[in-house]
Amino acid sequence: MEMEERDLKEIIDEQMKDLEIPDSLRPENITRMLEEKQSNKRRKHGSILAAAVCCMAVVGISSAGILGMQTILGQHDGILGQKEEGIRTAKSYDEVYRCVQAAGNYYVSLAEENTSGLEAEDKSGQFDSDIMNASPGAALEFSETNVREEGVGEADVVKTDGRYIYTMRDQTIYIVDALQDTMELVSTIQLEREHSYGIEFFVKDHMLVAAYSDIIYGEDQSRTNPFYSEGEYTFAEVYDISDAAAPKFISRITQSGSYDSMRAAGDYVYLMSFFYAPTYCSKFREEEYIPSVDGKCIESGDIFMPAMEEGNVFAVVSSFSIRNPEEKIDTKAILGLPEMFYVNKDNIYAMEYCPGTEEDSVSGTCIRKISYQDGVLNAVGQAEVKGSLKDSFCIDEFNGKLRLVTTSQSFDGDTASDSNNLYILDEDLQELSRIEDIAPGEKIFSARFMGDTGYFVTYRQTDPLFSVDLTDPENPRIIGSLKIPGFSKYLHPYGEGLLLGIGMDMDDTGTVNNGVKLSMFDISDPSAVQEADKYVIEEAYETPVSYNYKAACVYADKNLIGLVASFIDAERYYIFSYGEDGFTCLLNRELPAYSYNARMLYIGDRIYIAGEYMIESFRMDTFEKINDIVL
Amino acid sequence: MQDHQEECEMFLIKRAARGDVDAFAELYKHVYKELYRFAVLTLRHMQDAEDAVSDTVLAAYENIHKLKKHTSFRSWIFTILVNQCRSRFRKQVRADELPQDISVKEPDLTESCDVRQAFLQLNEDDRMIVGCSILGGYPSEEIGKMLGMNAATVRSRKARALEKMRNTLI
Repeated sequence: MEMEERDLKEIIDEQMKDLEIPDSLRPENITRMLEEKQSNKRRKHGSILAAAVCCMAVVGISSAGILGMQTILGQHDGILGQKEEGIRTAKSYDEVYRCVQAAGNYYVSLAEENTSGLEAEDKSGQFDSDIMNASPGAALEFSETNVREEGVGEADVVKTDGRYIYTMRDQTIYIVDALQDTMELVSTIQLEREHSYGIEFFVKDHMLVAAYSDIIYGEDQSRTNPFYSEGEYTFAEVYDISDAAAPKFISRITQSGSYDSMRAAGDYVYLMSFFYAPTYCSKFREEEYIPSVDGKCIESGDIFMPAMEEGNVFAVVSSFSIRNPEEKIDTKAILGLPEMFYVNKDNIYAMEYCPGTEEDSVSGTCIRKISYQDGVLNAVGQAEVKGSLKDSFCIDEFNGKLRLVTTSQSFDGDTASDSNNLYILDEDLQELSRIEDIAPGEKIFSARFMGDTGYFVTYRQTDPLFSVDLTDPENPRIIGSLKIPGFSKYLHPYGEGLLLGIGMDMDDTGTVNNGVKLSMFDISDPSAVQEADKYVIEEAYETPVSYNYKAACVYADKNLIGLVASFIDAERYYIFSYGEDGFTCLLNRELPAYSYNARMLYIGDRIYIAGEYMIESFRMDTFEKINDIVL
Repeated sequence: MQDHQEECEMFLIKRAARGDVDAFAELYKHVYKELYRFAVLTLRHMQDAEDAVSDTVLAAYENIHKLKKHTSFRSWIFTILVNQCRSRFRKQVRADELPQDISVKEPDLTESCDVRQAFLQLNEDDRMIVGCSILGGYPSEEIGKMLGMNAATVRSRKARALEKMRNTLI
């Protein structure tokens, strides 16, 4: 019998009735606090509304600079490079078991909230070029999902192949013919599992691959069922959509853990999930603590052990070919406390949290590098750097060099202080150089590496911020910074010499959020970055772009910027262009309720705003509405 | 009667929007226990719960002029708290880096309170879903809107989370 909500409410009321409220929260003390605040607008440490000044640090990185940095900074004793023995696979399940046990009750829900942070690179295009030839018949140019790395396709909640628009709601994918005068629903795909969640999909070569999570309960298990134990699993279903009116189910792959993301490179699909092994199970029930793929436990030789011999979270990566999806090609599981992936054309990097030690309380990030080609995965090496990565834009490989910007926190008693670091590693993840303690007291809010230059936005509560010039090998120095109210949480290259920032605007005291802000930075002279223009969507309290880069529909070649802005009573879609006069708002439209997942697409000369409930089309030249379809 | 209460609330909101701290405190008086309870059940550290509520108060006070007509104060400040709690999840994880003795100093409610334990075994999203539903009284559509998922997902995840909690509590 399912527990009624009412019963739970009663239990809560009973157990919490004596909950002591801290004095600071009592109404009479709140009054005092607010009065003090009125007379003194300074905010306490740690609040998200704390005085917000954004600084853009510009970091020029050249290979000459790398060498120079090494000579100058090579003396520092950091935690980097202490664990250079490379990636080791498990010798037996026993060994994995001990590692999982050691993790004990360690708080490991780290990776769960981290699904928004996977990817990593720059270049101005940034689109899903893999999916380009999805529709051989389609002569029209069409938009692609905003991806982390050019050339590596990613799943999303809305896609187009130049003829059809694919969108989804609940467990149904809708296929809509977008080119008719009246858009028409051609067919739907009902996903296999009725309670699936976290659904994303992509479309490639007349195939649609949908991936999601679902929980398997005891009653689902049977001899014919591939699931070994209860828990959360990731599913990828492949459909043949060469006849859009009659999608045909082809195959399904299942692996342990909650769905994280999916990548497509060439003909191959890589499915990623995070599996949390219970730390209290019996050693003899390996099906409970070893992740499985299609019901088979992953071999110990395919499990990469963590450097610290403890950890109970597995990052599971499986691959299959879109040409032969019924056959899985490879699987690897990375054990530890993995948090996010960054995938470029050659490598998958799994980043994991490394707690500080007694001697050094500063925690770090362990990077494990797995190369991939044609579905085959191979361990390359691992390294550790100080601090944590804000998201996958903080790590980037360029010409074989891996560059990372991290924020590290150190503690003096219970006072935490932040500082930021830049590390450059070679192909074997050996350190080439580093700069530490950049902008102490601040945190990195967003980053973008563009070839030899890196940009990052930091956030602080007082005083100015810095940019670092690494080009003079003998003399790394700060070359410029930009101090503006508010902060950018996402950076996107916008053609020659321009960088778009999307974030929040704060007032001068940093206490009042004025709305969602678009900033255009002129980066033509990296030593003198300017905010060329800004546009504030007043009263908007959030945009999904802040936590999901795929929500940024930025098509620099068409001069179009699209995003959802959330207001207290509604979501609205905004489309901007940018020119000599700065930002121009081309469209501002209220969306149906719950449309925070809406995307702007284009096919030929039409613009579409596609969400869960509705697709609307507009002329690209006049933004006059053409038609819509309610799903 | 209902109308009268609404009128009173609107009056207090208007005063608070003009900077009247007492009017704000009057509104807050009716919800603060609920707010704190929500934070305690969804956040791992008690200090975090206290900070989340206190930051919510500051954010609410700063922004109350933006509160739209016909939106209840309770529902609005709850939404702010939900965002505060979510933004703290990441910080919480990092807070585990704190030297052990600091976390020990916190009063440990987990031992004595089954319901908190039942909450904390859920992942963050599920804690928010159950918290918003049971403590906030929000329908699944609203919760979905706050958490960025669709209503069906909220419903199915809620059902499973409750199931899980039942196993702990009963």
